[in-house]
Amino acid sequence: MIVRRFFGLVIIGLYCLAGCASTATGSSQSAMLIAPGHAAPITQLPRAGTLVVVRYPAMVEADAENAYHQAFRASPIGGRASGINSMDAAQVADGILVKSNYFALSLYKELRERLPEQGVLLSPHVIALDETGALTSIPITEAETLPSVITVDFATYSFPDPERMMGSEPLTFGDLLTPLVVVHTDHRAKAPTHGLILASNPLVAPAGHTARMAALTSVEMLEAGSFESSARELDFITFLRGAGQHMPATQGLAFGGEAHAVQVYPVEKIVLDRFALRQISATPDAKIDPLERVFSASLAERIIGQLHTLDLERAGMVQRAAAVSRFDPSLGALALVGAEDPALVSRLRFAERLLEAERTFLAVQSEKIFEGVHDGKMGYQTRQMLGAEFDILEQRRDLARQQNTATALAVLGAVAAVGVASATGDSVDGMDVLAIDVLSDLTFMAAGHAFMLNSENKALGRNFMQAMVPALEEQITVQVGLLDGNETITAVRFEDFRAQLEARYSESLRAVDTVAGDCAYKHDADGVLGRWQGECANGLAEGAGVGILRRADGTSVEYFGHAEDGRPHGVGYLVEHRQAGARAMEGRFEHGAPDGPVRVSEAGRTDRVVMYDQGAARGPAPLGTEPPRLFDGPPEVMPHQTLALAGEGA
Amino acid sequence: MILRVIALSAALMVLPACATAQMPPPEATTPAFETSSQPSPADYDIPAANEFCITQMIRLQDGSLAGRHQFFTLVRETGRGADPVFREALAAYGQGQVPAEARMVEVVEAIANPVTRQVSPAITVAQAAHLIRFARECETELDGQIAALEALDPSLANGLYLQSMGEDAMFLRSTLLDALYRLAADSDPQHGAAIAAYQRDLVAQRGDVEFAAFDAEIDQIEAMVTGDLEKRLEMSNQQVAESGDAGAVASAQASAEILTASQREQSRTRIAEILRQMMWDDGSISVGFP
Repeated sequence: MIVRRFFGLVIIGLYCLAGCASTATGSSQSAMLIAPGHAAPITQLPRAGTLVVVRYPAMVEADAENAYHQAFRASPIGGRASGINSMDAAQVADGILVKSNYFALSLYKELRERLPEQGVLLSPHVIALDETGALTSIPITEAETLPSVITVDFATYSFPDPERMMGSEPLTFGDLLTPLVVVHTDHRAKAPTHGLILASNPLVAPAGHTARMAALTSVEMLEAGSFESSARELDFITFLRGAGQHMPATQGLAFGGEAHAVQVYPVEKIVLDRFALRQISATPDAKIDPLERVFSASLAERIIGQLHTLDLERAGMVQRAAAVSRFDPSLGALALVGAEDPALVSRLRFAERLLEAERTFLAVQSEKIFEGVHDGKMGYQTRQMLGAEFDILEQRRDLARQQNTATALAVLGAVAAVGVASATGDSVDGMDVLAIDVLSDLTFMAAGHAFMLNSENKALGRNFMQAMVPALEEQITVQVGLLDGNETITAVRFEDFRAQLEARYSESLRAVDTVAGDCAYKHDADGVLGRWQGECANGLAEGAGVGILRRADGTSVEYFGHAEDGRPHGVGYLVEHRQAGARAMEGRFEHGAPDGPVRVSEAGRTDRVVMYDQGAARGPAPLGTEPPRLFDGPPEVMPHQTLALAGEGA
Repeated sequence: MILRVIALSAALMVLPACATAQMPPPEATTPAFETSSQPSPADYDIPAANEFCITQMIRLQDGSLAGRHQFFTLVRETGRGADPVFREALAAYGQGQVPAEARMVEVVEAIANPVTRQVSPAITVAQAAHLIRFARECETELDGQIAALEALDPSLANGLYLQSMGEDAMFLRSTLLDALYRLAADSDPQHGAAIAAYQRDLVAQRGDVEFAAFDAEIDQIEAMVTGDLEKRLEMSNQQVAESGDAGAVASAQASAEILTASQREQSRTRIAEILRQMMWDDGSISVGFP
């Protein structure tokens, strides 16, 4: 009998040890928080554009639901995809849309407080199927048609299996939130990384692919004589559908001014502000933001830090050209780098005023989305849900802790019982039997209690998730209602508004003698001709404009600036798209070749100023030499700051 | 605009002294401010000025605040873009002396006279040179007068009104350029560049004036459309907020709790039973669960 009990105790002890419960812990300090203080405020908007557009997944079209749920289940972050229940995964997938909707507004709010009026716009996306039936996302508003310097993709993430909620897998539930972030700019502002600035670890390669494709597509469009670029889907969706991978040079999180490499943000479960959550739990009416202090304020600071390092005009120039072209196709090229003819300057000012009017319209729309989602019923419900989730998670943590205590007792009891049994050897008396019986009974009870708590813990989570299905559906209905209403109302009015603006523009303009032309551009000595859009003379580039040329080896060159006799001549900015990666040069060009101090930007390196002599590099320029810039450059020079951040994977 | 210019030219020819609104003819009786209770320049704390400026300003002043403001603004805007190099060109191509006692209103009338411009463009150039000299050399005094008048009557700083003055100034500047072209001054190797620069500045001024009008119209459209949008979106948000079940989360939470409580009891009973069996099988003591 003792032998039987002995083995029973050992088995229970081992089982208990293996069955210790996790308490769903998170990181109390986000990697984003490690920042060297506040960035200086940005006081001016770029010409005819905005500074930041916050993009996020907001809803899913009915015919794309299955594809979205399947892709979400099949591409988990932070764990293996096997054994995940499809219904559970679908519920989590829907849940992250609700949370993304709500928490993206926290970032919007923080940016709005730090940027000039109309400096940040919202661009909610609807997840849909493209013409080939593949998953994609489409912006609901027109915010992305306006020139902008930075776009931030924000989404919350949860591992698709809610059964593993208490484990180490990523979670957005209760007081835990796993953000996924990608920050882009136009590739002309950060050529070596194709404009990709920062990405959450699992999204680096998909975002690298998206950025590269966007750059190459834009080059192709320029070759075809258009400044338009294709709408970029959310990088999270690119990740879900496994559309492509391109790994750029990477580094840890930085605060701007570092090498041209994508900053990698590790996947982390952030513990939300518990004090704020308790207040929310008590009064969902209170518009308290539990993400602000622990994450979004710091992310906003980082984005502003990035804005300080970017040339705002260069970042928005092609988008601005595209937007101006919609009103006045003849002006598009001159919107890129400006013109000297006062008649054209005046005309351009008219067109840019129209874009400013559009910005005003879109800013109103963003503000109303914020009010509707954050301050309205949806915000109330989300806060209610956050409060409820927080309560459940706390209960589950309590149960897990109790379970762990019971497990520990069971293990101790088992060890003690085995110890007594071993110590007695062959001479077992009545007291030994009683001691072993008592210890083993206590072990069984503790183990039983631990099993019961474990079962209760799981049931608590499962029941909550099941009970929340109708509430989640209700929230999604409200969300879709809000965004649909917003979209319908604004789409009609935006079209009408744009038509009114176009009409006033046409009425107000006088004819001008010269507008942007379309002629030949020469770059290399091999005689390959490219396309020039801008000021022309005798069929060749002459004056301001943009040149594009594709070499025989498939590499391409973009040039923005001034030209003479078909070649770069004067101050200009050049991007070469080579197999090895993109490289940018800014400075003065003489008859097609860089001449004098030129700023060279390459992947994995900080900017260098190189002295050129008629195209031949002569080594680094003397310290402090500033090459001429096409535009005024970044809004202000930030002191170069290097951070040593613990735990950052590159 | 053209109609305005024609009307202005006609008015200047027919009623020479009415070159600008409310301005009395030069031959009319002594302007009111010289004898009446209208404030004198000293009342406006005018900065110290040279005699030429003071003399000319006293001569051209109209009795009303608006009239004087209009004329000062017109003169200032007409002098825009006339740098010293351009004024050298005017000196080279101007013909005839403008009498020192000539009032600026008479000078404006002479510039606007289409007959003079066609028959004797050099005289038009000389008249314009005189007006521009006044505008440039008395810039500080003019600015001081304009600021003082706007302080007395803020409505004078009205955008549309200033736009109207800008258009009149552009007419005078265009007239001057026309006269210079008639004299082929634009192809003069010495002065051609200065005239081209003046022409560019005139285009820019025209752009500014037109843009101001356009901007005002866009402002109106923007205010109207965004105001309407705000109202509609607020209504839409309100409608959504009023629909549906506001207590969905609370009721879900309650039902989850009920379900869990019931399952908890079942689970406790089941495990207690299992343990009881295990212990009784061994004949050991039985202890209930807490």
